[in-house]
Amino acid sequence: MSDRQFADTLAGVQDGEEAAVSVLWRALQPSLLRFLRTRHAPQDVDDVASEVWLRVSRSWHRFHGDELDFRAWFFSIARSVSVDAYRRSGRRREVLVDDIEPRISERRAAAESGALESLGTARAAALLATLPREQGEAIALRVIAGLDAERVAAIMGKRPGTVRVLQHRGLRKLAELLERERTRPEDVTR
Amino acid sequence: MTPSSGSSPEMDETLRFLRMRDPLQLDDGTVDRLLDGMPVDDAPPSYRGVVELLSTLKAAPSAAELDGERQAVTTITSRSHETARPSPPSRRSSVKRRLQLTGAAIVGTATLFVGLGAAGALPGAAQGVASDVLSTVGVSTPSPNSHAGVHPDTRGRSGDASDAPSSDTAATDAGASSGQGATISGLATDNSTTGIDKGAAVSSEASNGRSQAGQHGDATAPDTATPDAANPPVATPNPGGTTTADTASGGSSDTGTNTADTASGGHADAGSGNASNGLANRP
Repeated sequence: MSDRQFADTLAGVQDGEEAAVSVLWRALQPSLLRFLRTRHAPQDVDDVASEVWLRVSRSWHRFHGDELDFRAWFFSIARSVSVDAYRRSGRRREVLVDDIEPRISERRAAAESGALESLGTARAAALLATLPREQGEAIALRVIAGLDAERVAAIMGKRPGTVRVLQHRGLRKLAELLERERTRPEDVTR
Repeated sequence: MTPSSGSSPEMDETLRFLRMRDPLQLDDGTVDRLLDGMPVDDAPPSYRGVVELLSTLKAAPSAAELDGERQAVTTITSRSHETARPSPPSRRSSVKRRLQLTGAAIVGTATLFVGLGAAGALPGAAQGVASDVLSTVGVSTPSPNSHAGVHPDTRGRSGDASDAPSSDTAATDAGASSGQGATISGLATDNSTTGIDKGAAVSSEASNGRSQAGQHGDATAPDTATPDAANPPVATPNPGGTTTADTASGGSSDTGTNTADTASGGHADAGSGNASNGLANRP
């Protein structure tokens, strides 16, 4: 979305135009779902996402800024709602084995091709959820929300350097996890 | 730094050596490129799966992720309408609003001041100002001294109290008492009197003759009306009764056997005088 397009969309949203709200929803809803899948059990994701939109819609008439600012603001609210929901439910995402482990045939195919084509977004999010919370959050906000290290740091209440370290460690852990997945004997998973 | 970043062959060799020791070794530049999304072929071999995973997280939305758009948008839009959505105030209207509030505050304060001034309910100095201001527009208001009586109306001028308007009894008294302080001071410093006499003179002057101080003698002197324990009027111990009472009272006692007898026509048993009879009459 260009700056001009975003400005028009935001003006429409703030005027309560459904068409503009629809454009904004289509631009952010997939990222929001993926972000929340790294933090919540699958059955809770839709409810938390709805709460995020309602909270955002209560305040968006006061927002000023460009698209990147809006994304940062949107995901800071998403993170806050997620934390609230997590506290209410008293649990973090329950990582299910079925979520992160492809079926044997799929895993074998992925290993043979050298890439994980069969890896769906849900399973990718589930893999990210296996990381320590801050590492997964630092990577999710950068990759899924599309925010730079400074904005991620602002949302997480940390220094940009700390966020970079978290991202570095998170990537390394992901690589280790995928390597174990690739080399694990079939009989272990069955 | 990576082999593809244009570094020297020596550095590339060093990186290859490091990766042989630790295949997961990453430099900051590679971390950024991994996160931004780099081609799989450019990624370190150990991170190609990570690149795939991250690119999946950035993939175009699936139909399932956009499911329920119609209902979601309708709900969000209607709920956002429910919340107050005033257009963001411009800087100009904000200044205007501030001026309006300031003006309202000034008018309110002035109204309160005039109202309290007209009612004479302001403190003295403020009431004086209010009275002066309102008198210029023809509004008559109580002066700050209207309830002051003879009390001074100007700070630090208590010596002029006698100059205060005197329209009531208190004012008359005040006029009469003019110079009284000096008289009292003279009595107090007069060496011709001392002790009770001086105190009585001062007290009498201060109270315009109403004080009786000093007219009943010296409080420290023995009171002759008080029985002297060292010289009792009758010997002690004594049998009590009518005789003793008569002796102690100089014959003024009306109590005792005689009185009781007289009152009862000789039938009284009261008093010590009948005690012996009573005892004698007992079986």
